[in-house]
Amino acid sequence: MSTVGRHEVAFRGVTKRYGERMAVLADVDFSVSKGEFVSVIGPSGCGKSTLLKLVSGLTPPSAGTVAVDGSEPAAARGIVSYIFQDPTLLPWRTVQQNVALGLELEGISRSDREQRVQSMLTLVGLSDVVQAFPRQLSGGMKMRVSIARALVSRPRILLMDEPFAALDEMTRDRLNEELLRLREEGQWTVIFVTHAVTEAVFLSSRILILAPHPGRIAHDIQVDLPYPRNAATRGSAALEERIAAVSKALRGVQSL
Amino acid sequence: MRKRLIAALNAAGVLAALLLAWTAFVRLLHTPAYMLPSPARVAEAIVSRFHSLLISFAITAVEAAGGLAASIVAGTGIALVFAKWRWLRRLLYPYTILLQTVPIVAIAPLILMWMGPGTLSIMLVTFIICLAPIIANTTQGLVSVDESLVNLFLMHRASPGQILLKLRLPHAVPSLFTGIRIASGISVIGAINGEWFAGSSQVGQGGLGYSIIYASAQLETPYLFALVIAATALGFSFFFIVMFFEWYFLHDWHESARSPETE
Repeated sequence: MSTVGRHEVAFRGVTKRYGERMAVLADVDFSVSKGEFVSVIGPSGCGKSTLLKLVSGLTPPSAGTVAVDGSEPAAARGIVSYIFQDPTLLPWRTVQQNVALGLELEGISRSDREQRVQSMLTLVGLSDVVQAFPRQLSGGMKMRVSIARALVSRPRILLMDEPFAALDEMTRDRLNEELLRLREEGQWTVIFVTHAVTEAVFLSSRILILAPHPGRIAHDIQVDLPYPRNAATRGSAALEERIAAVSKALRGVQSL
Repeated sequence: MRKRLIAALNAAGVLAALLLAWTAFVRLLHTPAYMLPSPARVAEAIVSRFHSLLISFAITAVEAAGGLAASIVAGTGIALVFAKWRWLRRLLYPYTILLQTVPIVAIAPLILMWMGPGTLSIMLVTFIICLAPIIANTTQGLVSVDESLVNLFLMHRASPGQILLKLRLPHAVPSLFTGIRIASGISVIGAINGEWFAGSSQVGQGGLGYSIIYASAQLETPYLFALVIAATALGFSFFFIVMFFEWYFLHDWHESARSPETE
């Protein structure tokens, strides 16, 4: 694993509490290097989503520091794309207009925008529904639009908050494979929150298992399976073995 | 299509039955025409005084439409201000509810006393009663945007202005139309009400509200009925015009604008 250069994301003694309640995250320390695919997994209430909110700067830490590309999270938003749990599409915009949203807000010229959106839509297999409105699309297609919208900004860091949790297993598997295929070109650093062990192991180069009450890192596991991973990787003994190991570690955390 | 045809035929059948019952009632009880004219007498009044009826209709339509249009513009503007500055909304929102509860019959004479009779005064009366539903609905639409959508805009470094115009405003359009639909109905009431107090510069000829007072004073009951029908038709036309625009702007993406048959 490359450790060259400064960290893409670094947490130093980060604690987050909402109001007077118990800390959601307590004294969390970790860093993510360029090109890593880190999955964050753990029982509900362990602060997985809060961790992403901290990286995005949508919420500030109560104590400690979060640095993205060496600076304040809010200042680094230009290199970060966030994919939310819901597709969060604007229902009044067509697929094409939805994908163009970020570029539009960032003031990219119309011709550049159209060109980039077109090639992104082709890349994620949405060229047939360019003019469709979100309500005409299935859940999987909506999530694909959401991913296209995040990638068209050419992010260096991609934050994903259980993006496939609401989808059926087949769609989820297919989108997992497509995500890895897209990453071969983009090489973005990913922090991926999920509660599905199989998904986490299949996608990631590294898995952080969080323990709850208060949220903290219980295990930091490297997944030493070579990329590219694809449909053929599924069901391989090497993958199954790692899934079993992570499941065991997760069970240990849950029974704490 | 077939279902629609049957529904239309049924509605026409009910109307025919009502008219028949009405005619029978008048014939059997020999009610004098100034108390309750027969449908035939009403139809005769419509045909023979169609020209004056049309002029009254047009006058009231212009007054109601003017007041409604002004309330849409001002109401949307006020709602945008309310959405932008929460403290202002907290401070002033209760007064918009007050605006809704003050009976218009009570303010109309005051406004006409201050501004004098005329088209503008009547438009102002209409404007006042149309304003509250538009402010209330549009504000609701502007502030009820999903938090994750706001976060999405923030992640793209959107300015507060961009969030307002590209997220909150389009999100509020369906609610704005709900407000306009409610206001369109009461705009006709407002205009007619204003005319009651305003009178007319030309004896015997004014808007529907003026003519209703005039016809009732003259015991021209068949014409009074004709005016009631015209006023109803005016309310109906407003409603359908708004429905059309609502469909036109929303049918691509919003549930409320889809006809149930396409489900």
